[in-house]
Amino acid sequence: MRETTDAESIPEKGVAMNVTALDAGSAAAAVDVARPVASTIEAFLASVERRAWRIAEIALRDPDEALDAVQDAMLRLVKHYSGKPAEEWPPLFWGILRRRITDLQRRRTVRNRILVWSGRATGNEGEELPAWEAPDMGPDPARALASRQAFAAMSAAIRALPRRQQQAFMLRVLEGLDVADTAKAMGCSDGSVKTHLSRALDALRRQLEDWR
Amino acid sequence: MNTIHENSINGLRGDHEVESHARAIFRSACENTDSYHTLRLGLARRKAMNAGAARSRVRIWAPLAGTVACCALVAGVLWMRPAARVAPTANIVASSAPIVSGQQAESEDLTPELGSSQTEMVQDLDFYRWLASQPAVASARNGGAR
Repeated sequence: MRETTDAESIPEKGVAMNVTALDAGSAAAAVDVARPVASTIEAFLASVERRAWRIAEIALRDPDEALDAVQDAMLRLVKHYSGKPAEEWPPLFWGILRRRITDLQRRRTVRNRILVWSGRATGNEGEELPAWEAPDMGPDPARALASRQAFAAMSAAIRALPRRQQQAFMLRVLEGLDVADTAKAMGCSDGSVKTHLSRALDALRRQLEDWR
Repeated sequence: MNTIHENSINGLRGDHEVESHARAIFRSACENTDSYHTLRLGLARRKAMNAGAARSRVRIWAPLAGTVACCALVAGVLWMRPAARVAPTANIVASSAPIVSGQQAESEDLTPELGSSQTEMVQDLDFYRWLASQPAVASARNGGAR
């Protein structure tokens, strides 16, 4: 267990060199994630749609529901915020998508409770139906399979986290938003984002081996 | 103290490793999105853009339609105004009608009060003017006055 919850408050005098090296690594990772700001809203949506769908899929565990959530988020962004500056689109879009995902999760919880109460619950949320998967047209099926398995393991690990930690991890790490934009999208303070992220990383580090 | 620092460093390394590994898996999953879902995402984006375009058209036309409606309303009100003016005049005429009839009634009421001789006098006014201009009558008046 780490002593503090805020990763940025850890560096001290005696470890300056190593921390500098780690910061450089983080900066490199940030550069790797940093994306150019789209000039039009359609270009922005085109650049973000796959990641948004994958993140919604991780949270909802259902590709079609994830698709609906992404479409709703796109519609709302275009309808209500297309006049905003392009720099504001990412936190707005991810905030809308986060709320939509939360709504769907709550709705599903209520539906499951009703099913349990009425005695019609399946217990596996309808997973008895075979999931349709598109034919694999990639050049290296074995690699694609390994990638899918790793993604499934990571998704399961992320889903095991509390909801706010999931959101902080997905927005900050997977999507690569900065702390301020993540805070805007989550509707909380910067400090809360750091706390949630730190706890999420702490929990996920233990499961890292499962992803390999 | 050193142990705490080492743990912290290991924690940071672990965090960084988790982050980079998760990013790599996520990027790979995004790049390997199947064509079916890629197509559906494109359709969803197109639908959102079309909805936005329709909304912007409404945004442009709604104020224009509102302005036209206001102009039509004002024109209608102005067009109805002369009729509204006529109506009060008619009312006034209608309300004044009893007054006129009252005046007639008054004159009718007054006429019977005049004596019959006075009525004849009024009718033979020319004769009495001629009579007054006669010298005999005038001297008689003057003598009478003395």
